[in-house]
Amino acid sequence: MKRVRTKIWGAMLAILALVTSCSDDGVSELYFVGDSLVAGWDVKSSFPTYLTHNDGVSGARIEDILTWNLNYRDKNVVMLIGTNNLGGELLNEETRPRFIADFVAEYRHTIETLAPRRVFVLSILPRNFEGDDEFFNTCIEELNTALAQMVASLGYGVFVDVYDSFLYEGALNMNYSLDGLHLNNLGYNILNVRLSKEL
Amino acid sequence: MKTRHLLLLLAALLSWNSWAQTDSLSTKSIYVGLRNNEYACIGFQSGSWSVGLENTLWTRTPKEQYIRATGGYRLNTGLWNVIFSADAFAGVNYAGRFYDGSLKVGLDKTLGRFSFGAGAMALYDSEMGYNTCYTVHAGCRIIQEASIVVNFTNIPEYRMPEHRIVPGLLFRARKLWVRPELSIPLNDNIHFTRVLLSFRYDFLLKSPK
Repeated sequence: MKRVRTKIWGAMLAILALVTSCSDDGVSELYFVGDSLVAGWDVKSSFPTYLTHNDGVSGARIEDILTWNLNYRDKNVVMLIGTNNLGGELLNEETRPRFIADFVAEYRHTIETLAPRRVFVLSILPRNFEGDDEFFNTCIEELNTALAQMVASLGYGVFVDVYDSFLYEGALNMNYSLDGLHLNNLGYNILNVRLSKEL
Repeated sequence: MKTRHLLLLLAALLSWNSWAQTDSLSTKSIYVGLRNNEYACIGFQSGSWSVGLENTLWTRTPKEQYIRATGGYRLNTGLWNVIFSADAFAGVNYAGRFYDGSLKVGLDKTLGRFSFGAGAMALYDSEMGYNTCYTVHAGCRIIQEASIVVNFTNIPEYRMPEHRIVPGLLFRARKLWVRPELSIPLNDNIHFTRVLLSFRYDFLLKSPK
């Protein structure tokens, strides 16, 4: 019996030694910032081996973030925001280019001011909200394309394009949503999987 | 790295397991189970002592898995039949990003169909630093096989301490116990309520005397 115990301890310690000998410079702390989609995300249980901070605020727009006195310098930040900025200016063909340019510029300014070590920008999700224009999601696609180009030009950013994962017949897949805007657990599970692959 | 190995070795040698609160088996057994939906465990119990290993189940990337050596010791103090328990763990992330360890001591008392107890945990995480955690718990046996339980605690369900109230049920049937719980945050974030499930099954190695 004593020999068996010794072997069990030996095996256990060997496993511990093996796993600790691997080293990785990956991210350790993750700061999540954005609107209600972030505020409703249980990031602690979704990323159980990270130190997570949820700075999501319901109804937030991109320009609100810099008013919150966040200290993200040299931190790893996940951003999901933008749906509350969308409206008539995006839908109107004449004002759309200007709106997209301004939105992306504001997004870039926000990231550069926060000065994170790495930023993971999640694409704006499609919508299926009551009263939404049919054309809304096509415009969001266009906005995401511009957002992806901006993030690529940052050098320290990763654009996580989850738009198609949530799309069904041109709108937000209601299997993943509570109300056509906010996500249910299945929806958050998609975000968890897609983001995990990038971390 | 040598310091880390030494710490892990010390913690593993001192380690006790946290299942003691709901386990009354006194024979030798090998057990398997699940803790808080997330951690699969296997271990060995001999009388008051137990040691085990836990590993994350659902973490999505292999390098983000986490392994933990756990253990526990229980002692009837002889003073009003109060049970003293000591539990410890030492854990590490596969990628080597962090390691953590803890030592927890507690006292538990059963009075008829009621049981209650409290404990304090010294928790160290290589990135978070030191934290003192607490647990205050109570239970009421409804029938032989089922009890209502409730726990006020900030002991991490995953990695970070969170103040929570955790009501639940504890079902016991011979070598199996199952514990479904609702973990409710003690702040405004009520929407981060979690449904937790833990269970343990013992394979007996020796018949009771």
